[in-house]
Amino acid sequence: MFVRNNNGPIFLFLLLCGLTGCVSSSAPSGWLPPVESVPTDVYGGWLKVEKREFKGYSMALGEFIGLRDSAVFLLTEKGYLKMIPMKDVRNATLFIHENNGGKAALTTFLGTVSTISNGFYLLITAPIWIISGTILTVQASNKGNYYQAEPDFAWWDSFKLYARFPQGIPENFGQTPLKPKPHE
Amino acid sequence: MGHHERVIPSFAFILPLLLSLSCNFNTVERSVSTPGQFVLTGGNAKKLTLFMNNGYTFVLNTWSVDTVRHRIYGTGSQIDRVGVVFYLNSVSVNESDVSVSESNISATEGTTTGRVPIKVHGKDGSVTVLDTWSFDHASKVISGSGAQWNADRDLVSKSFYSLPSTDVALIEKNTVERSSIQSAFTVLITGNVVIAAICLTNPKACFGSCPTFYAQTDSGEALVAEGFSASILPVLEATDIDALVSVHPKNRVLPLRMTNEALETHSIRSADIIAVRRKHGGTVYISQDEQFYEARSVVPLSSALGSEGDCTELLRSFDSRERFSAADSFDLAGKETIELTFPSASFAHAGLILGFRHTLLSTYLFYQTLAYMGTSAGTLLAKIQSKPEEFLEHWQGPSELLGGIEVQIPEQNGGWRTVQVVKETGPIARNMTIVPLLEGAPATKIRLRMTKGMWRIDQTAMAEIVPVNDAVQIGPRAVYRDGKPDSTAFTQLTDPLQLLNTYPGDEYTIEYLLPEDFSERDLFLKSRGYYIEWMRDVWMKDENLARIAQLVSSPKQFLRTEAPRFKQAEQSMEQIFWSSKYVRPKQ
Repeated sequence: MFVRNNNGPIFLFLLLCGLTGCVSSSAPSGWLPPVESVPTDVYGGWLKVEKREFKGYSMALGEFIGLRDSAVFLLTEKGYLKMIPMKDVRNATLFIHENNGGKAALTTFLGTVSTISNGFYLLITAPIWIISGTILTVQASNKGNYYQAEPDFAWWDSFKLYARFPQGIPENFGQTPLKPKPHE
Repeated sequence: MGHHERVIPSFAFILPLLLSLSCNFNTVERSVSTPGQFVLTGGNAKKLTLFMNNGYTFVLNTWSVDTVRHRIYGTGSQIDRVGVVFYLNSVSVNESDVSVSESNISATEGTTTGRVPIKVHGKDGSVTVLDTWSFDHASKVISGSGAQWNADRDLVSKSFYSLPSTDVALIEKNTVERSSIQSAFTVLITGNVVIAAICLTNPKACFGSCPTFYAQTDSGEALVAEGFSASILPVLEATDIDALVSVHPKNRVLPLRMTNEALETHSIRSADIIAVRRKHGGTVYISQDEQFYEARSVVPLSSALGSEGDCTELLRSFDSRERFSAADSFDLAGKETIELTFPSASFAHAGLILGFRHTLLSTYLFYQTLAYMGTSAGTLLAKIQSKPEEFLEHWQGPSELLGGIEVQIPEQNGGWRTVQVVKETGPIARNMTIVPLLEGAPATKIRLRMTKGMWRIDQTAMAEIVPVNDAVQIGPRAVYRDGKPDSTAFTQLTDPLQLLNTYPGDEYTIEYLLPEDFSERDLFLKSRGYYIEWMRDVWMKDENLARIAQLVSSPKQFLRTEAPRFKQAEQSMEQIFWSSKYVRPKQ
């Protein structure tokens, strides 16, 4: 009785996903709104900033509050407000809403497995599922997030509309601490 | 029948389908504008853009609003969800179908309404989300119902708001963009469903029948033979000799690639080459009684007339252009004839060269019989195995009714006389045989009588034939698997007491060393063995022992009853068959 290697498609899928860059959000679970809630959500997007330090780099994560005087403001999950000069930002990733990259990956996996119902045709349909599904998963995982290496002022200016204060930091800002977004 | 195909969950596509449908792969496009920019449609606007609830967009160059009927009329263009633009001479839409309307110039009077949420950002950092809203162009006030949060995002109130534009810093609008990802997944899943349905509705169209042999030909590697297709049980082990018509080796080493491309267990006792020396510069063929004849002075076909009319061109040469017909709709044993005419030639002994193979009718009937046996297949086949004489007596009815290709010559009384019946099982490789005619018999008129829809005829030609017997049988010199010598397989193929068992996806290269005068010889593959078809789970639903009883007791009626069912599958069988070869995935 011959033995068929069933792990091949899974490995290939994981390899393709890894190579093509499935993006996973760094936002706390339940923090990002689902896409249909974005029009009524009153918070900024989730910002992940890698900033230059005296030696090496550090990471800052939090709600994108806004821009002022060539600085980026973000509010951490615990309510600490951080000001990061734009010139210190090495790269930035902004997450607007939750995406279904994980579900797309699961759909791809199950779809690939389901090709066993295709009989011999699985020799054609399984690779199609793996390749197409991987591409779709990458697309899905990249929905609602924007990455920029060495973002300049123009980039920040074009993405400030995803901040809590797209109009700019209010005049009375800083007099009282901001509350972080409650989440599950 | 020890092997069973693993369970096929034909409903396996349901999980990814449900998961895909439950996912939202859309994204959001956000835009912001100041109150000055937010001034929307007015009576004197030159161009009006309407974003409809259904995702369509209208861009109207001229337009008017019927405030009584709440309709907007105009001329302009329509843009569908995927961006296709249609130019329209007349547009009429209900206001209630409009989610947002925008104008490219400011207006000084009138009111604009919107039915998708907007966020009004105050200069103090507050934000008001208005679910429905209106903008009064004269007073520059945005009004609507919704909720308001302060800069700290504490909910202040839920109310109806009238927000003067002087207090407004920015107005934000979010448009959910539909993603094509869900559609793409739906296409993939639909493909799975369709193919699963094909497999379920027509499982007898799967690639099958015996070991297949490939070799290098003048046009590259090609399928050149299939071995012992009729040997479906150990007790029916048989020897099969196939002409390797298109194989012309360049040197003494002849490699043949032997594959198992079906859900079958192949048991091969031997696979040898017979090299027959030509004496007269012709081509050597084998007859049905396994005598070798050299055909010389070949006379091509003048005309061929089948039920469909003239089919001469299809039958003139061995070129894969085959003549075949559809099976009878009411009786699978229904017959047809092809009348062949050859130029007059004075041959001492004429022979008909015939290139042919089965259609999938025989494969279908074999698989359908196994399906009717269902869970009893093992028991029934074991009985046949233990009592082969019973099989020959009772189970051959359909096969005898279907018959072979009857080669007939005209009789003086106007009738036709059968001189030989050509039989060779297998729909995969084309066979080439010679039918010696009666010495002195006229060789200008030949009739082929056969079961409709059962045979594919590639070539017919007339030739003068002479028996030849300078033949040498050559066993394998080496056997390779995955490019490495396989001494076990070699022993099994060369020891007459042993069998080489192969399974779906198995592949061996058998190497032969031909005689030094190989270029003066024509080659034949002599294979011996049997094979066992694997039962498919999807066949089980067809279990019907009454049909098996009918097959044995009344084969004629069986073939009539089976005709409509076969006709349903006949059209698609060929395509499904050739695309269902089993190839083991590379590891």
